[in-house]
Amino acid sequence: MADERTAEIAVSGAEDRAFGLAEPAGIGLLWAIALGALGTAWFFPLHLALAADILILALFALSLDLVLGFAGIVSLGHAAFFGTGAYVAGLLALAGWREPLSGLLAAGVVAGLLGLVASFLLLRGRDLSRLMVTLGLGMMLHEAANKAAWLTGGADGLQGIRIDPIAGLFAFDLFGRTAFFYSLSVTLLAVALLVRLATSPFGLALRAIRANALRARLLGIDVERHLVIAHGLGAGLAGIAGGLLAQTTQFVSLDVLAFQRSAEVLLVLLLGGAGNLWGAVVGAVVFKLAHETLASITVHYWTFWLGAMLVVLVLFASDGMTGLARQLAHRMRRRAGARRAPGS
Amino acid sequence: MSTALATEALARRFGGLVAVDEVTLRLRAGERAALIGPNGAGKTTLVNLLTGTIAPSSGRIFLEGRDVTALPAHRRARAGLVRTFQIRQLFDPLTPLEAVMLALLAARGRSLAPFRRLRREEALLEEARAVLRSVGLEGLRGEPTRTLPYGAQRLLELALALAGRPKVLLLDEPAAGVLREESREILQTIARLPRSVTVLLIEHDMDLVFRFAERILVMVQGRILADGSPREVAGDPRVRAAYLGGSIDVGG
Amino acid sequence: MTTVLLDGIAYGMILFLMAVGLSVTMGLMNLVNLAHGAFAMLGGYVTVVSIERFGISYFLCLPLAFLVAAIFGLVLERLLYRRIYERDHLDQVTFTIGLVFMAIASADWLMGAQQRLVELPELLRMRIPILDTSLSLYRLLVIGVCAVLALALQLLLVRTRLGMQLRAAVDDRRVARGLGIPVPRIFAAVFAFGCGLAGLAGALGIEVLGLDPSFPLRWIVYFLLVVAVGGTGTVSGPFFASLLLGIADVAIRYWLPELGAFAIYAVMVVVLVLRPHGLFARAG
Ligand SMILES: Nc1ncnc2c1ncn2[C@@H]1O[C@H](COP(=O)(O)OP(=O)(O)OP(=O)(O)O)[C@@H](O)[C@H]1O
Ligand SMILES: [Mg+2]
Repeated sequence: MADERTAEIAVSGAEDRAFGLAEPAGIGLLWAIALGALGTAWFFPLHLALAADILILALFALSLDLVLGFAGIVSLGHAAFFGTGAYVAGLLALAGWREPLSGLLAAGVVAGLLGLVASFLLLRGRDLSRLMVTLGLGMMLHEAANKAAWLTGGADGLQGIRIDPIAGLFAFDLFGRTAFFYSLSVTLLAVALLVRLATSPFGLALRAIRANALRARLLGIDVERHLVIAHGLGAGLAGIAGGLLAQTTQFVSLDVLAFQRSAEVLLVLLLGGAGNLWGAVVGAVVFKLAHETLASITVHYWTFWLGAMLVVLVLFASDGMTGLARQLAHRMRRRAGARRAPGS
Repeated sequence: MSTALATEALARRFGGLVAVDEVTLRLRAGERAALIGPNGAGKTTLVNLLTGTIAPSSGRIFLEGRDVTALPAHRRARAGLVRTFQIRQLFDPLTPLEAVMLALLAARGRSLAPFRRLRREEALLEEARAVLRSVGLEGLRGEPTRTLPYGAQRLLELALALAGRPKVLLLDEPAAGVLREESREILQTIARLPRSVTVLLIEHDMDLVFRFAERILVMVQGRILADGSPREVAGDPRVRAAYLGGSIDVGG
Repeated sequence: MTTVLLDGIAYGMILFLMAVGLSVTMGLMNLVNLAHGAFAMLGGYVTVVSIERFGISYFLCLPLAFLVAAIFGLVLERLLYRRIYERDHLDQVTFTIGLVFMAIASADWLMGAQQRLVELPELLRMRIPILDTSLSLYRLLVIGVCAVLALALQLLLVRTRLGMQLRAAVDDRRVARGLGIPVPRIFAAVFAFGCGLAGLAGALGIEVLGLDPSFPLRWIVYFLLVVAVGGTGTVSGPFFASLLLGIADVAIRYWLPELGAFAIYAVMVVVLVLRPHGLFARAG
């Protein structure tokens, strides 16, 4: 009886491992974000703005994870969609539409549509040309926003954005409490969506396409269609992250579209590890904390350390921190297995 | 008997080289055929043309009477024209269970479901396990493909094809580079396939070919040089000449 | 009209000098080096410091810039770049963007954030009349030096033993190694040489390109565009691409200033979308 039970458990354990992206890991991520964020709010109530920043960056990195980590589309211009979302949310508010939730949705939809259109430019090329096309698109949008000062405020950005209380109840306050809980809710919702997606047939198909697009195609998968949808969704999420930034900081500047932002989010994702959702979140936390620490030591030359991080990352841990953790866990499990073996 | 797969003057040129030269052939439904020929004869190119990985320079392709020449590769696969690869074409980070699940989903055109849960697809999971069992890979279903031994990878290649609900199965040297023991296992798996599946096997090992095939096509320099029963083909002097005087032994 | 053309040619020549090294390393080593512009910036700063601190003549600064950038390139190749030749493009891009950020911060720290200019020698500011306009000797020097170098490079690649080995290594690394060609050493030499040329371009082009810490980032798109249009692994491809780009960019700035850099980015995207494979046949 007892033996049967253990056997059953062993089988389901094997089944979990047979799915690279097990649901428990995804649900664990939701809990980790919720508990981590609430813990921060409890113990460091003065750092809510930073916490909201981290959440927004995490959301942005998650959107890139869908595009790069899952679909395998290498992008150096992801800020284009983040920035579009930020400007849409900001402009709507300035035009008098101050309701936050619909504003955020609009940011996501517009950015998503842009991403959908842009994805058709990315279908034919391989890594290198995709890199350059995304880079070019990002730069184009940045330059366009710079020149269209009548709309975007040019280098001055959008100022004096005001947002209504969320659901008519929670006004944005000076301490960033509302901003924090707002960002947390949106991020949790997005992560739940992404977990669902990652553990769905679609998520599996994307990982397969990334691993070997030719093989996936010859199994009957419409590769282009999957990529277009993934890129559109990723762009939409990036737009929501951008809209969130605009609404919570009530300011939009040109640098939401800057190349640095695209490079930064790429770093965050690679730092944490792409393709498993956890990496994007871990990367965002580590990156922002490192930024805070380093920037307080060397105010000006923080980008030097940013660069050094990228270099070291590629040389020594190209699977990111979650990759390192997984290797470690694997080794420990092996060792534990070896120790148990002689006894049985 | 009805025709499963047919081509009409199918040709493909690479620059000056004619890799496939006006090939016209017909595979009857349920047939067990083998395609042999020296290295560089154009066998893989023919499979590439049939499955839509590359476009023909001229000619047409019919699947069950329907002209599929202009059909994109994934639609052909979904229509039941399934292949394996001579050179490893697998999903390195995926486990065999995931890969076979994907093949099952793709064959049904159900991979584009972002909100379904994979683990709730119990019927498909059961089927995936059955496919893996049929090639003897059930025990390795949870290991990332890149860590599998080579023989197991060849079996997985076959499993993916089997999961694709093939009507016509094009096997491009499925036993290339595996040990004798494993190649027998692969052949047995193929031999066990139901007669509803039409099989075209490309293989250099004449022993395997003559044990498996009811019909043999010989390809040389892009053309079908001979086509007939194993006995006919083995006795064909042109075939012997094409193999540079090397003898072809009819097994047994 | 002639002014635009002549300015465009001079500008395009400098672009060529900057980008040719990148094009060759991309074709030869399959290396995407987004930090290539940092070597040009180095050449520029070497010139500024040499003139301002040590009063070295501008003409001497040019070979000096080449040398310093080449040595720097050689050291980095041996220490860092060589480790990422076999990596995928994403890793290479991440890695070299990291280097770009480091270069920018370093330049900011060492040289300050402001634009740096150099006082060109009196001689170079002389103008000679050409058709309906006049051309400074500086621009003539730029065009002359670059044209001679382009020709020399072409001959080097096509006529010499080194060039032959190089092309063999491009075609098939393994075979080349089998023939006893010292592939790693050739790679290092070519990389360093390309960096040197970029350094020279940085020194030669201060007047045209400007010089401040954001230099490597600002010119990335131009490098990539030259490579995208001109293809990799040849000298003539990037040469004509650079000329085209130089003239087009000057013309746009002259007649359609409100478009700004937008047009250049748009051209890059269009070219890449229309010919993603042809352009990178070697790299692919
Ligand atoms: N993409 C391509 N571009 C240029 N030539 C090609 C291409 N693919 C195949 N060829 C050439 O076409 C010819 C036929 O090759 P193919 O791979 O079809 O032969 P094969 O019969 O499968 O040989 P093998 O038994 O070695 O697998 C060869 O000469 C090959 O070099
Ligand atoms: Mg073949």
